[in-house]
Amino acid sequence: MKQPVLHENVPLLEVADQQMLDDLYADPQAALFLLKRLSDTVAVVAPGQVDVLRARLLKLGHTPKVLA
Amino acid sequence: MAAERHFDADLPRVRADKLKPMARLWGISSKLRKDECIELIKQGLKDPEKIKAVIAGLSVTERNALALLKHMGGITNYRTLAIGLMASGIWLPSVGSRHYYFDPAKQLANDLLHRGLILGTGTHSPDYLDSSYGWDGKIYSDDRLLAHVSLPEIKPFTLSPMPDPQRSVYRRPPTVALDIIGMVQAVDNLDGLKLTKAGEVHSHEQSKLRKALNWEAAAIDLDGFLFPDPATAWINALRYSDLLTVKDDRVIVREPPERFAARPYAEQARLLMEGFIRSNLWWETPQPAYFDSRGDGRRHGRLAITRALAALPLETGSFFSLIEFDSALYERIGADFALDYPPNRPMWLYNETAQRKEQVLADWSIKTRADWLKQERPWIEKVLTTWLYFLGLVEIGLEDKTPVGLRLTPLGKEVFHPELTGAVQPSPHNCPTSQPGWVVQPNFDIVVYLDRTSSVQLAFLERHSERIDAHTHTAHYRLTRESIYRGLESGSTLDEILQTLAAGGHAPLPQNVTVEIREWADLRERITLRRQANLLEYSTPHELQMALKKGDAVGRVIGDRFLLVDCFTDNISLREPMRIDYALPLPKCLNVDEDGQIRLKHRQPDLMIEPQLNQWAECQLENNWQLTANSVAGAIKRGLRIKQLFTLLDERLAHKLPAILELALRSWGGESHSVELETVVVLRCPEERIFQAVLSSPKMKKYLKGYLYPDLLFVDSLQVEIFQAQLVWLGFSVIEQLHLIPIAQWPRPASTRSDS
Repeated sequence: MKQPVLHENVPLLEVADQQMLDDLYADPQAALFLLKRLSDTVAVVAPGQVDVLRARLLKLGHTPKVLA
Repeated sequence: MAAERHFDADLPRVRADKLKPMARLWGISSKLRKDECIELIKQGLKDPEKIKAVIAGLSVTERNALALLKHMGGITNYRTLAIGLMASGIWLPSVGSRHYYFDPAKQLANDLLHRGLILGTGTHSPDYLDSSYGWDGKIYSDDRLLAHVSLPEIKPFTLSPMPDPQRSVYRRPPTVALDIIGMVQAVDNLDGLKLTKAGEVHSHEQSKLRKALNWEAAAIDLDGFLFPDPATAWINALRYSDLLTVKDDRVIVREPPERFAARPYAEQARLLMEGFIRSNLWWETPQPAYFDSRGDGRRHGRLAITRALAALPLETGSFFSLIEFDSALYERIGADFALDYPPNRPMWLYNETAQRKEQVLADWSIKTRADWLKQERPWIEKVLTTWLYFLGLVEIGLEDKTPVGLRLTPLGKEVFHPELTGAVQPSPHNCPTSQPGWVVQPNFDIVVYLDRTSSVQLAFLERHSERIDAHTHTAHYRLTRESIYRGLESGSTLDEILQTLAAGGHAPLPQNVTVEIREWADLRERITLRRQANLLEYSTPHELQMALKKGDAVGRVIGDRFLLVDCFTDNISLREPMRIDYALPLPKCLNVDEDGQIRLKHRQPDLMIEPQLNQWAECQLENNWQLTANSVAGAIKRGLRIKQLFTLLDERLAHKLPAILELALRSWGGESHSVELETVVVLRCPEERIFQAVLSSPKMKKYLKGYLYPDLLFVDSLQVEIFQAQLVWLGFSVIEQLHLIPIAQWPRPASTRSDS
């Protein structure tokens, strides 16, 4: 069994359904801050870009919950 | 909060001849050596009983100087202290000793220093109170000494009450609290205000605050009074009242607005009043005609006015004429204070007669008063009708809209007379009443009855709803999706919001309001941004499932190989995994050559690098990417900035970026660089006289196109053969190969060298 990797302090985006994340990747401005898609509903956020992505989400009409 | 100020560190820098008189305060013989005196003074300052004895032995002036210094935070400008004492009626410099060069404020500071009660903050020496020796005019006292000083005293003015004015206006404590909390909340909502390198708030940040508070830039109308440049005024006052603090490059609120709101009204107003007194960037008058660039004049004057307000007779509760108030204040400070340059006494000639002196002094007094009436008097009126009025501390009497009189409000009495705590009727208590504070309507509007609402409740409304307008007795708010979101983001729970809204109205919320707020809260749950999540990555889905089955790992499964874990200690049974901490610099794992070929040096399992490279370069073989003009231009077109690529390469390259590739990337990113390339025929003349002869020859000139270097001429390529024949005719030996310097010998500047 290969050793697992612990990724600490990763900025993440998690949404309620797959369509929502598809839509965000389709938005050219939001997509800039979304890196690896880990699942249908979870993506890694570019380093240091959580606040910028949050601002974009608010502009798109979302109200994201921000956790430390 | 500032650290306690003690004399200890400064005492050794006090000259021995100045230290010995200071030692007498503590009953120490001046015959002792300097180090012995210092040690005994230090011991005295540690002993509360000795300090009490020292304080009991002080004169009224000395005791009040310390009390006022304590009131001003333990450190202040010596002139501010002197003006404050004069305005209090406690210390008035004797007239007889006054002459042109006499500075009573400096004399007071030196007297206090001589007694060992204060020290200067100058870098040259704490005992040398002279601005030409690096002293900024500040004096301070030891906090242990100040701890035993009571409140500063006030000698009341002898003023006759005026008849009640036609009309009077004042601001009630709930209205004042609403505005102050609104401002603090607005700064909090903006996540603070960005500072310039000089430490001042950026002008565009001021614009944001003005917009959030619906303020005009030039001035706001306050019950008919003009309050100029409100953003500068309040930012200054909030900063100087310690309600804001600097963090990194922003100024942010020091404590949550709710905690500030929980303070009694008098404390809220007093804090802001102190902030206004200390402000140096804001002017009460829109276009001041006087010179006070550092704000010293305004600071001295503001303190004097607050001391003068404390000197208003309390017994009758009547109004006092503004003219009489102004005259009374002038009597105390007029000969020593002006907003720009303090008036100097007349200068006497050596043979001046007593009669002549009397006449000159009388003329000087008339002129000083005239100057005051022209400059200080209008400013005093502005002080009373701007921030002192805004803070609800004074009630202004009006005749035909013109201020003619004033008196302290109940809140003003609490603030200016802390010594009468209990005796003065306190302002309405800052807690909810038994009656409903507001009504939440089905259209999401909230009508707030300010008399029945505590500051804490107002702070709640400021945080969870939008204020539409406010009047003397009511305020109008609206619940919106954004305001509820803001409240939830600031830490409130849905239940807290619903319960507090219902409790404030003493009634259940309209059903549609409850349903909608719940929906807004649900919407927030649909997208979560985690700033710092912890993920366990398994190499295969099977390994993840095995770990879960065995109970080796606890968390929420993300995709088929990841597990979201709250904290790693939950998974302590695991073998120590490889860790990658994204809060730290990530490994430098890339190589790039001049052709833009990027290679991931060895398989690094971090989650960022591959997607980041995919944004900028074309993925080729495994662990290989190619930067191209198209890939970089495409990334720029999608909205990325070339600076981000350089940041990525700087952070992740194992070597310096090749200079030629950096230029290529900049060009692909839109920067324009041009060079010139042309196939040319060159004539090199190693001997200068040949070069000059050819260049100056009319016969040869027609074959030449120009020159590049002191020995290089460009020949017209269409006439090369004729030109060559001419050179042969001249008898020159024409070598058909240039003598070139090998590239390797070129002395490259260090900045263009690549280590790759």
